[in-house]
Amino acid sequence: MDGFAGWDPDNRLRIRIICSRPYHALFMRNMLIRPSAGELANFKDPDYVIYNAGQNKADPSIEGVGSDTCVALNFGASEMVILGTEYAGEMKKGVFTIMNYLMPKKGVLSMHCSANEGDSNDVSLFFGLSGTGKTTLSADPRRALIGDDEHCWTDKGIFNIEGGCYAKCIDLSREKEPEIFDAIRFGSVLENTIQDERTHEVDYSDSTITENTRASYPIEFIDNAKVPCIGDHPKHIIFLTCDAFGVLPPVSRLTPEQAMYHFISGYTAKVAGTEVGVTEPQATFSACYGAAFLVWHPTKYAEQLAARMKQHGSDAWLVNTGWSGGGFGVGSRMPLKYTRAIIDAIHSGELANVHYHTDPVFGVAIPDSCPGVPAKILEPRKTWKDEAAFDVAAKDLAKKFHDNFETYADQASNAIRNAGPTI
Amino acid sequence: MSTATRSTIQSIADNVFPEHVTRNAAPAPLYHEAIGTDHAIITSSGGIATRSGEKTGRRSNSSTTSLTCTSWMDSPAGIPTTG
Repeated sequence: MDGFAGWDPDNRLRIRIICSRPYHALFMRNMLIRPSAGELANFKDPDYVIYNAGQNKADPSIEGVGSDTCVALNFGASEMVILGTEYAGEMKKGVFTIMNYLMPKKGVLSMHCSANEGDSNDVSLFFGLSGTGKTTLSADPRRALIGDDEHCWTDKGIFNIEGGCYAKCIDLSREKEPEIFDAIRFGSVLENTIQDERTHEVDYSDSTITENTRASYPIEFIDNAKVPCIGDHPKHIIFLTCDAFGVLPPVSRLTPEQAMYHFISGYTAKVAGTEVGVTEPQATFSACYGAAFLVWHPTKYAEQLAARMKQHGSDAWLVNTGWSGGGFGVGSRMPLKYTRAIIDAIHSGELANVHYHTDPVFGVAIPDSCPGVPAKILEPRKTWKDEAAFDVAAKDLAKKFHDNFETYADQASNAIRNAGPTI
Repeated sequence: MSTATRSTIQSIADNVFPEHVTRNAAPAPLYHEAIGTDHAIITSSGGIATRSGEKTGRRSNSSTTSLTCTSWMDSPAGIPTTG
């Protein structure tokens, strides 16, 4: 299967997928940018070839191969081989890793984020690890979708790397996520979902195989997708985190230094039930909200992000889509309607014009009010029954931030180091 | 993401790929193939559903094969040693 990575013709790669499972071919037909008939006829030699032989296990006896799963990438030979795993997402993340290698060398910033655009061509980027809401929040009926996962920022603006979306679909419903629900039609690939044997109707609530059920579809299956998937320089940079400790505010405004601190930290939390072996909330830090796909040191990406944000006056926000009123098991997940209201208020400009106060631990600016969101929810400490317990949890999370940032401290400026939480 | 030498990748690839290759097939024939060989089914919405086998998510770091030291995480210079 041949396709392109990157909607910007000046920064486009020709990718060839060689695979043994038909569903992998269809998946990458969805996820790459589909060439026209003319482009396909003149495709020539690809820039990179991905060999997916995931049905075959790797040989651990080969030096350096530690298990029967192997995802190997050779930048010199422009080749990638997948063995021992048939999870389709490995292919698209392989392409992303290639872009994360090549683009920064050209002064182009590659980013693990979704993007959408308002009526006045105002672009927002949503950074976040898997499960924090990148796909869900970027699918907004009032804004055009540019892409749900991988983008680049050039001197001209942003472009999507992919030609499709790969949405989580556990508990998917038309009521909650109509754009995604309706995108699943002929041509879409459903991975690890359970269907009724008689009707072939998908039971999106069934996690028998995995919580990580997925749907892949071409981006034009989203009704308000913007094709070609390019946009202006971002007006808003939104960092999404799913804080299972119930400590971070649902929304806060970041200074440029705080933005860099949180971008390099890349905090979210895993919760019990979604991953084998996880029995209580675990803080997870993934640099640039995508450490697994980075090739260069995180500060290389952070410096480019800082420079571009400064040049184009982008505002930075930290949005917690996780727990409120206590941590996992005590509090409850932030209702999606409140998170959507927060995002709406950012886009409308209303949230920029309210009063703010400073969080004593994390130092971020918390709004006193937000249209469509109860004021009490905006201040996490007030949502806890036991405020002393909140203070302990907040300090504990702050320490985790500090401990994690030690890895990068030697390459970060004083201003960025000091933008972290206070212990 | 780990990287490998060209010879390693070629030796792996040469051993696992069959001679018959279908190029750039459209969704309908891929549906046909997937139903035949992937145990896929067409769902009521029109999408095609199948399973990824034993692995249902990206590999964890512990199962990542590191054939050569190249990522920023294990390269002090943060610079790939190849390419």
